[in-house]
Amino acid sequence: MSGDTERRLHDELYALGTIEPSRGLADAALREAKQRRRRGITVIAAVAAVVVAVAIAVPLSVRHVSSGPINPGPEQRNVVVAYESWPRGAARQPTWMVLDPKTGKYVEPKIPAAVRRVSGALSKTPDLVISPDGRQYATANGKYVFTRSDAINGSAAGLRKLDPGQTRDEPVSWSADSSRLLIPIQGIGHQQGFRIYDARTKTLGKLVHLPAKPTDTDLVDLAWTDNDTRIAQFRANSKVDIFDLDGTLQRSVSVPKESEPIISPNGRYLSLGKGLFDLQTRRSYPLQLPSAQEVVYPTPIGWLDDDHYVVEWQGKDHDFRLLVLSKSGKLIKSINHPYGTSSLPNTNGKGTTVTLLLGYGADYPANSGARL
Amino acid sequence: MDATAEREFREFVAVRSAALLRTAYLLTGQREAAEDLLQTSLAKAANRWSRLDQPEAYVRKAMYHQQVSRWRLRSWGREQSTDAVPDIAGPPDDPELRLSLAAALRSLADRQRAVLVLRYLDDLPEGEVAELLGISVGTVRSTTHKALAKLRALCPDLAPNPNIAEAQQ
Repeated sequence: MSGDTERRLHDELYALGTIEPSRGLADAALREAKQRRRRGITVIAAVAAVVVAVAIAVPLSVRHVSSGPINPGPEQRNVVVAYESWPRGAARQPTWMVLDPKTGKYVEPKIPAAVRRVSGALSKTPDLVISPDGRQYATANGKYVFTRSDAINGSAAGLRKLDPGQTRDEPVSWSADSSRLLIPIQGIGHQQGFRIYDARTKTLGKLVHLPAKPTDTDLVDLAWTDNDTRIAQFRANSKVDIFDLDGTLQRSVSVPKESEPIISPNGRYLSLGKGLFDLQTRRSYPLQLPSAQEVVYPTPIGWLDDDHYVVEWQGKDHDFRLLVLSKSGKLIKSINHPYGTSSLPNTNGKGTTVTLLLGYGADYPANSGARL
Repeated sequence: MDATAEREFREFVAVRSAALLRTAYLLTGQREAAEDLLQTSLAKAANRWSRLDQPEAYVRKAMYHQQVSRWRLRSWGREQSTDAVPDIAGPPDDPELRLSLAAALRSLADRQRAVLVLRYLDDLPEGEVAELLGISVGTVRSTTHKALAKLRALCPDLAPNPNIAEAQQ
């Protein structure tokens, strides 16, 4: 090929590919990033009594997932109770579909307008957080929190106004026993705090203030820890503070700087991108990747139990993988995954998990509660 | 992501999204698929922002790899949605056929199109293209050869332009 043709091809390709990006691209990407992040936060509490899967985006196919649960234990069948569908196209927004156990069909969740209103606009489907037992979902928009229980899309629902409300759109997270919601109350220039919402009694706990007053560069995330008896506060300055539910500081630990660490259910370990950090001994355990030729950063996904954690990883063969690792970083199981997943194996407390999938352009067949 | 990182991310998207979308569009051949590909890759980057030394390189790699994954998935028999009716009206080796480069590119196999984009738009060396696409350097060369031959057949105007050559001399 002559240099002239190369130049012409380059120029033609350049001209051909010159299209205007959507105005909302950064917003949409940040929204998708947040969606991905929220799954990781949710899984912190993932010790459930009922086997459940929450499929992120579109499950690719039952055939693909039939490789089985990623836990090291015996395989079990899992029911997808909800999934999030990402339509194609610019500034896409996800749409949640939940399983109606009466009909076995996936339907759009019924959510009051008060909690669907975000920044003045009425969102078709706000971000749902499915409880670990798969029987409830929750959503909050900063001013209201809403839960529906007694089977997905069932009649038992609760809507509570948050007063004072959140100053930022922060994710809520379920406790491991699926009974309570952690609602962060935080924002720049506002004192950090949280409220606990009891989904069974529909009661909203008092606002618990935390000492930290986040700055512009020191915003924090909150998560359940210590088997739902305490709250972990992750700070951007590589510090984790553990509080009682009344806001009393129990311990404070400096940790390696990672953007999205995930704490183990018992509160002892942090799953980081490239390994594990023991909060007690302050020792790091780098994960042992199946190939030294890593191409994309591994991403912490969650914990199966106190002894196993999961990362998403993309290898030289271009397939995304979910890696199940022991605390020492030893690879227990690897599942190839064509698109990758932003989240979140869920567990029934016995290490049984399912693969949660990210896909494009196709929907789950609306048939009798797809089983993985 | 803290406020500073978010600001940096937004600036990055504002400055580099057109170039990134160009590559995504040429990789996928469809605008919507390109936006999906870029958005998802940007979302991945956003969640790792504080750890990325070279965000553009990361986003590009994420796009390449995700696209390869899509091909594989498609090859497993899943349907592919499309927003454009193929413009190819006849066999690609029809000497009378005159197609735009856009249509000609769409007629290429995914891997062929990717090789051309990486080689001639992104100016990556053969070795890097091979690494990114998970194929050998020899396959990169043969794929490039076949893709160019097909493009020339469909797009004769792409052949060396003597006027340009003369003007440059």
